[in-house]
Amino acid sequence: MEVTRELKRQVVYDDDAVRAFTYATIVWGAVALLLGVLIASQLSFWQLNLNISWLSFGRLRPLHTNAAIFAFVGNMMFAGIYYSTQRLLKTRMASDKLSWFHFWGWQLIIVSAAVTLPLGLTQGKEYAELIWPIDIAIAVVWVVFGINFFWTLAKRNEQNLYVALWFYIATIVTITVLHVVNSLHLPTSFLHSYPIYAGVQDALVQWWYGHNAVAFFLTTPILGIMYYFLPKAAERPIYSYRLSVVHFWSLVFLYIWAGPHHLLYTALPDWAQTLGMIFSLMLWAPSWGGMLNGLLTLRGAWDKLRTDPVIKFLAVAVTFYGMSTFEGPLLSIKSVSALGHYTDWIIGHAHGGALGWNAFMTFGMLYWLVPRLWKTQLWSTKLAETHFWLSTVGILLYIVAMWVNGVSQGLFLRALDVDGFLKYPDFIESLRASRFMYGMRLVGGLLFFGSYLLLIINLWATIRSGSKATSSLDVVARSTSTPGGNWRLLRGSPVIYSLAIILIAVLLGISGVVTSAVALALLVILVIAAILSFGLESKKTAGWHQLIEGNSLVFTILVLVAILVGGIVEIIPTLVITHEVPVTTTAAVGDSLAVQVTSSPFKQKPFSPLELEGRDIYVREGCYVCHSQMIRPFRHETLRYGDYSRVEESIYNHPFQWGSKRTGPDLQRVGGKYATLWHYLHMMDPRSTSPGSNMPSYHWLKDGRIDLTHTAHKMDMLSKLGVPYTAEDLAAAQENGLSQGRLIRDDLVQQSVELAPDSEMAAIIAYLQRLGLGPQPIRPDPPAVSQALDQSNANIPTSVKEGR
Amino acid sequence: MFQDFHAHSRLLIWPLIGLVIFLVSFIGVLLYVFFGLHDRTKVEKLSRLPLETEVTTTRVKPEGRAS
Repeated sequence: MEVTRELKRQVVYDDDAVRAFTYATIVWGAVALLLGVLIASQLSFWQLNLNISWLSFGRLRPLHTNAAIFAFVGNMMFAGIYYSTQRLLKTRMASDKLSWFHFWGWQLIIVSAAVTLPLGLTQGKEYAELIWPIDIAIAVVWVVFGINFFWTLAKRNEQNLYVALWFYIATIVTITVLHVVNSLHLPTSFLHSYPIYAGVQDALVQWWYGHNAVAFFLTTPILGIMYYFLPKAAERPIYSYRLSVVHFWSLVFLYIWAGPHHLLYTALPDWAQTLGMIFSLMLWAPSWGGMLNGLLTLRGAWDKLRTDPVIKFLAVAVTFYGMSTFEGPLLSIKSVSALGHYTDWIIGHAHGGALGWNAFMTFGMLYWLVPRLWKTQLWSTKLAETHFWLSTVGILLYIVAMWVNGVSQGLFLRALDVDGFLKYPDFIESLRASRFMYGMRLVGGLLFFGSYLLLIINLWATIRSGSKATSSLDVVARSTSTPGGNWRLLRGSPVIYSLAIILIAVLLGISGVVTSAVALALLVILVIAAILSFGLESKKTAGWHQLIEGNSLVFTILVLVAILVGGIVEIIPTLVITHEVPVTTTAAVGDSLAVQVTSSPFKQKPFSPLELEGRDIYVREGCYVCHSQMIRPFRHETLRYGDYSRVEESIYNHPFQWGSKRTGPDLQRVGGKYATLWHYLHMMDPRSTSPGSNMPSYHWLKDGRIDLTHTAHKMDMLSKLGVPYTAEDLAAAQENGLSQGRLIRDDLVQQSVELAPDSEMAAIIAYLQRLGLGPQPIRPDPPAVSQALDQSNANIPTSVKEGR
Repeated sequence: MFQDFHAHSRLLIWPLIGLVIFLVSFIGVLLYVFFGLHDRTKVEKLSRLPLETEVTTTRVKPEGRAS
């Protein structure tokens, strides 16, 4: 029985928060783009690093990505969500105070990032660099935003949830899960921490997060904004509401699985790579469904494309969405990834999405929204048109340059001569060949940034010509309660059928031949019964779904289940890998039980105190943004960098440093490849050892000092995460660190170079010289030991070997 | 190769179960779209939700909460 009360009331929307987020979007957009232009310039002209640590590429690049994602798009997203949510729900945001807490909290986080990242305070994981106190602040502010949003949902005056709101729900729920899981760190001080995951686990969790930051921060909320603002601008409803339903559920379910496509051909277990690739390919369909839904909304309004800059920006944004979501799955195909990964192609792909989709949606939304928020007309349509054309040309120059560079680099670095050896053995040759396109990328970036200044002028003049508007709506507030509504949902026939089909399908997967045949028959019967049932009782089914659309709690739970399924089944098996990866010592040989799980001929050693400090400096300077530590199993890679990387080699790496881009060569096995003096000179002036390099000088490492008194505490924290440091290791940490530093100093003194043993330079040299030297083969293997190993392996039951 | 790690692990049943859940959910969504959303009037009403008009005025007095 449904109980309905009706109250007439006027709702006054809170647009002050929307205006605040709009201002923030415009300001941070300028900062993000300017930083992008600066670091693009640094790649062309290394001198622009200015020999200043906090202006070096490795530190500014994370600032650029964070500013673009969380400051620019983040504020735009909040402006769009706050504006559209109130109107779609016909109610004011639940709490003005929470809205303002959200706004100022988010700006404080951005300012904190702008201070800490140039100082080298980072966690060393892409798009998740911010240190742990800021991570906690993000969680608090995000939860406040979520409370305000769901509270507004609860007090709404519109029963049905429009599709845009579904995307907002998915965004809030998923980002919460992603941020919490990926930010689990063990602090060693107020400004430093180690992730609880290491190596392959850290890589999988990070790219599960990283890819879904793109999906649920840069895509789903913007799709929600598209579903609201595109119909508003075109003054016609969305092309197909039905298609938007399929688009939403397919996207939400599929996106979460796709993260491993960032780790193809790495040491990630093969099945996870394949899963990531398959789901990425499946994403093609819903993504293009969404794009077509957006574009076809303009049916009958295409004439506006000639005259209305808002429609121009939105239409091109949706087109770029289609292009980026075509290119993403394409790059996820393993053979394409083999060519494109680690090259500028990925940078081009990312900017096609960031500039073409996110920024153009932002521009379209701002040009539509600002005149309405200030109740005036856009100051200059011509200026907006000019902005459109200049920025479009800017994007095209940018992404074409990166495509050309990416494919060229991929081909260049894999080219073999007739004898099967590298045609271009010196990595620097590919960098030299990329110079021209780096210049073209810079021109494109400058055009995009320059045209953005036109937007600032135009919107500033628009705001000056109007005054703050207050919008209101007379509504008939409906307070509806359905006794037993949630229970009705749970015992509805769609739930019963779905559960039964899932159970039988699982039975089909794990049972023997006869049971499988019965299960298959049952499955077919059930599917037919479900279709007939829904078809014959469509009214009843419609009623059930109407309940879901009107029940935000159940809807949110369903979204949570959809995103958790993919995350759990990919991550959990990899998390147990610690217990099964062979990590052994020679002492284990002869112990049959130990041999069962530790039959590897390799021995993994944790980093020494000085190497650990050097590693922290490597992370601080952002070396991973240009150098990978992951050699893929290709001939051209093993010839160039050494033997391919193995999963156990990074088992103690908190955080992993596999990287995602090679502006410089891979460093996995750089240890021992060059003399200590070479590393010293390379750090002081990279061009002295590598003519043509665009790497910044790191001369400040010579004068910087490490605090070895704190190293034992760091090692202690790592030992809590499973790194096998002993009490003796901790007690001798300071002395051992200094001793290793003295060896490096003594080596350099012979070459007439003075270096303090506790300098940051000594530490990073120690770390670089260690890379690739562990785990080390247990050599020599006496014949007796080998026989014992073989014998022990032979005695192990097959079920044990297979982990059963 | 260590990339083959878990290749025979029973844990790998979970990705398959995940795939099944996706398949069933997807079929469920399709059934909903084809059979549940057959009411044209309702679909039209839902898709027109963003197009509702509102009254906009410039601010002349301190803004209050919804009355």
